[in-house]
Amino acid sequence: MKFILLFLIIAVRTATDISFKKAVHDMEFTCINSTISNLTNALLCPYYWLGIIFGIANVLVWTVSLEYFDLSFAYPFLSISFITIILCGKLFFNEHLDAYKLTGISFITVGSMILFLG
Amino acid sequence: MMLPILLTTVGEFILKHAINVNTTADTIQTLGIFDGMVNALQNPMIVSAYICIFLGSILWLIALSKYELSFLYPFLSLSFLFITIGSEWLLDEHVSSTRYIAVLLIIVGLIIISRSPNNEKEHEYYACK
Repeated sequence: MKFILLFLIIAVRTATDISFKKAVHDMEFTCINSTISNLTNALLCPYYWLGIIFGIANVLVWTVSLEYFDLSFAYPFLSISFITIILCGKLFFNEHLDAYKLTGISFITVGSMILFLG
Repeated sequence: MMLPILLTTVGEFILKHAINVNTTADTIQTLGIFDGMVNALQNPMIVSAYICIFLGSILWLIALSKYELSFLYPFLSLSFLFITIGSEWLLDEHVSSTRYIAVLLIIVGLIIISRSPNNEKEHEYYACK
């Protein structure tokens, strides 16, 4: 039952990163030096606020997860969120998935399975 | 660029230690998940731990804008190493050798991902007018 928390923390972390990436993607930074106009653009973008909401959810779920699990057990599971972020990047943003990424993903998957079963 | 890693790692240690001190096996049963969460967030050690982690994320974003992603991912795998080793030393958790092997595999996977040549975007930022 408590392992649902691990699934939840990975999902929330992925959602946070994807929302912020979508926010940056939509804002189309044209000028990297003018921070103020970028900031106001950021505050107007809804995906930015979605990212903030998921960030707060991340804090809550992580706090509860650490009450149930050791840190050395729970923290490497966040590496699975790397995998989901890469896959969502392919899904939503048409990013490249090459052999390096797939090999790395398989290593991380095997490592996480060993962690979970061991 | 080590600073965000160190900040995040230290923040997580403080967080876990504070939660260890704050929570016994009974707390979750007596308070339930939601009240336990609210109770935890009122603890100043937990709040300062999250501030640490938050500062770490901001520094990480700044580092991301300065360096390539392929350069930074191996540092992230360093943080996994620090957390695993540190939780054995500092938090007195029982880290079995299978956990070490698993973390090592994850680190190798992260380094392989960082070697991917497709980590950077193709477009460049336009010059300011």
